[in-house]
Amino acid sequence: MSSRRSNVKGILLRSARILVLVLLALVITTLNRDFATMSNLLNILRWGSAATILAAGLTLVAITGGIDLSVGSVLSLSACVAAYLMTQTAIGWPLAVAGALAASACVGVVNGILVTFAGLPPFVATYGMLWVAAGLAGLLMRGSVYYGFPKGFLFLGAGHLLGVPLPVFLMGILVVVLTFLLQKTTYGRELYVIGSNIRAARLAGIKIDKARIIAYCISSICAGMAGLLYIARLNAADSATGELMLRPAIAAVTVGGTSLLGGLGSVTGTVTGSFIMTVVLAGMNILNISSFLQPTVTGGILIGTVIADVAMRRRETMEEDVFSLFQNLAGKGSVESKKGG
Amino acid sequence: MRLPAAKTGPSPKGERLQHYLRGIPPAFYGLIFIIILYSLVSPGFLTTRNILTLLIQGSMLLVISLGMTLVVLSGGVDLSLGALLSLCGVVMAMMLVSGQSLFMAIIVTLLVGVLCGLTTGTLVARFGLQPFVASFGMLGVCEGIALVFTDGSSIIVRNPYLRSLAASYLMGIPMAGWFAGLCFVAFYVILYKTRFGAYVYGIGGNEEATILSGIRVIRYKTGIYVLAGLSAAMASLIMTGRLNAAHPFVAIGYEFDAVASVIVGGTAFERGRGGIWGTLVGVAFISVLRNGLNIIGVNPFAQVPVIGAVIILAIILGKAQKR
Repeated sequence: MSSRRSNVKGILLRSARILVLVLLALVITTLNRDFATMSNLLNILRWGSAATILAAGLTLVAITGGIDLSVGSVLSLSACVAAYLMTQTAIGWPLAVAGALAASACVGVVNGILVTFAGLPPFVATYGMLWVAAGLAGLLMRGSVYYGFPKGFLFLGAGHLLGVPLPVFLMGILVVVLTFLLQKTTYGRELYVIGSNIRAARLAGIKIDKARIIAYCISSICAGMAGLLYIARLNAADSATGELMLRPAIAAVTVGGTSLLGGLGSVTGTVTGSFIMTVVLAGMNILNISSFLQPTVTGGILIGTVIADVAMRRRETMEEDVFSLFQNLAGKGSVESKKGG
Repeated sequence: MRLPAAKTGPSPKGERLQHYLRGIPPAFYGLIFIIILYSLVSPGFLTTRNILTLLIQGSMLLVISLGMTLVVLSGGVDLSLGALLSLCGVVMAMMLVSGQSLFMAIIVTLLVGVLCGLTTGTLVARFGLQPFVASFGMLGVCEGIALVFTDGSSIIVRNPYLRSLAASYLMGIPMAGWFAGLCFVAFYVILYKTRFGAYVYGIGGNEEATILSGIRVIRYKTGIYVLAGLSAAMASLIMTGRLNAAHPFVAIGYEFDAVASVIVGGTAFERGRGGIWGTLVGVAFISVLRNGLNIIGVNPFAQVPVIGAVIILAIILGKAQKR
C-alpha cells in the first residue's frame, strides 16, 4: 500500500521535473526568441549530453552514500592526456582515447581505495584527488593549449547521425547501460543497499569495499568520457577544461532526485536534472546575464534542492521512527508484563 | 602529601613524558626532518629573508586553519573558506578604494565573513545538509559574488596600516605573526576554556549524546561555522596587506592547504580527536613543505600530489600511533 503510494509520488515527482524543464524552456523562449532556434536546441542537446555523461557516473557514487568531488578535474585530466597523446606523439586517436580513459580509471581506483581501505570520508578523499588530478593535468600541459585533433576523433563530439549530434547517442547508450546495471543486476542493487544501510549491507555479506571502488571507478571513467566529448567539440584542450563542471554536475544529480544521503536515485532522473542545469546555464547566456553569476546560481540551486531532499528524507525517517518507537514501546510493555507475571 | 600527586596523575615521570610524546602528531617529526633536509639541499632556505616570508605565509594559513580546526573537530568541513577569503579581500579592497576608513572596511569585511559563516552554519545545523554540500554550494555563491563585484579583475589597494601587517616588524617578528598569535590565543581560550569548546568536542565525538544531554547543538554548531567564516575574514586582512591587491580567484583552493594542515596536525574527522596545537604543527609543516618545494623549484602543479601523499601518510601514521 505504502509502496504503491510512494510509487505514485515518484512518478509525480519525475514528471514534475520534466514539467520544470519544459516551463523553463518556455519562459526563456518568451524572453528571447533565439533560444528556440534549431541550432541552439541542437547545441543544448550536444552540451547537455556531455554534461549528463559526467553526472551519470556521479549518480552511482551518490547512491552508495558517497560523493565524487574529483570529477571536474578528472574531466580535465582525461582531456589533457588525450590531447597530449594525439598532438605530441604519433599514437593514433583510438589509443589516445584508451589512454585518457585509463588515466581516469586510475584516479577512480585511488578514490575508491582512499575511501575504503584508508577509511577517509568520501568528500575528503575525492576533494584531495580533485587537486591531485588538476595538478597532474597542469603538469602535463605546463600552461599550453593543444589543438588540431584527428578528424575521426572530432567526429565523436561534432559529428551528426541522422541529423542528431553524436554525443546524444553516446549518452543514450550510457544511460541505458547504467540504468540496466542499477536496476537489473545484483551489483546495482547492492549499491542501493550500501547507500541506505551500510551495516546491513555488511551483515548481508555484500563485498562493500569492492562495490564502492567499482562505483568510484565508473564515476571517473564517465568523467573521462565527458572530457573527451568536450575537447572533440572544442578541438582544443587546456588544463582548465573541467574547472567549472563540478558544481553543475552535482546540482544535476540532486535536481534529478538522487539523494546525497545515499540509497535513493536513478540515472534517468539525472538526465532530466542535467538538462535542467544545461538549459538554466544556456538561458543565462542567451539572456545576457553575466557569466560571473553562474557559480552563484548553480550553488544556490544545489543548496536549494538538497534542503528539499533532506527535509523530505527527515519526514520519512520521522514517520518510521515514530512507528518503530510505538513498536518498541509495545514490545517493551509485553516483556515487562511477562516479567511481572 | 599524596593528594597533589594524585591530582596530576599517578604515573611516574617517565610515563608522563611518554604520554606527552604520544600526543605529538607525527607531523612534528616530519617537520624537523624536512627542515633539516631543505637546509642541507638548498642554501636559500635558512636565510632570514626566507624565514620571514615563511612566517607571513604561515600566519595567514594559521588564522584560517584555526577556524577549519573547529569545523573538522565537529565532524564537518568548510570548503567555502578559500572563496570566502577571496570575497573578504575583495570587499575590503572595494571599501578602501571607495574612500571608506580602514576601521569601517575591517568591520564590514568581518561582517561579511560572519554572515557567510552563519549561512553555511544554518544550512548545516538547522537544515541538516551535509557540511561538504552546504559549503560547496556556498563556495559557488561567494565566488560568483566576488566575480560580479570586481568584474573579474584585480583591485589595487594601498593602505599603509594594512601594508604594515605584512611589512613591519615587532621584536623581529612580522606583525602578521603577532596577529596570528593573537588569533591562536583567542581560539585556544574558546576551545579549551569555555563550554563552547567542550561542546565542539562533544558534537564531533558523539552528536546524538550531546543532543540528548540537552545541549542546544544547532546553536553551537552554527557558531562553529560562524567562527570559521570569521577566521577567513581575519586571514583576508593579512592577505590584502601582503598582496596590496584583491582578486576574486586569489585564494580559491586555499581551503585545501587549511584542511591539509588540520589533518596533518592530527585532527581526525571522527571521534572528536585533535586540537589546535596539532594544527599549529600542521600549518608549520605545510608552509615549510610548500616553501621548500618552491625554493627547490618544483612546479606548483606537482606540489599538490606531494602534499596529497603527505596527508595520506600522516593519516596512516596517526592511525598506527593511536593503536
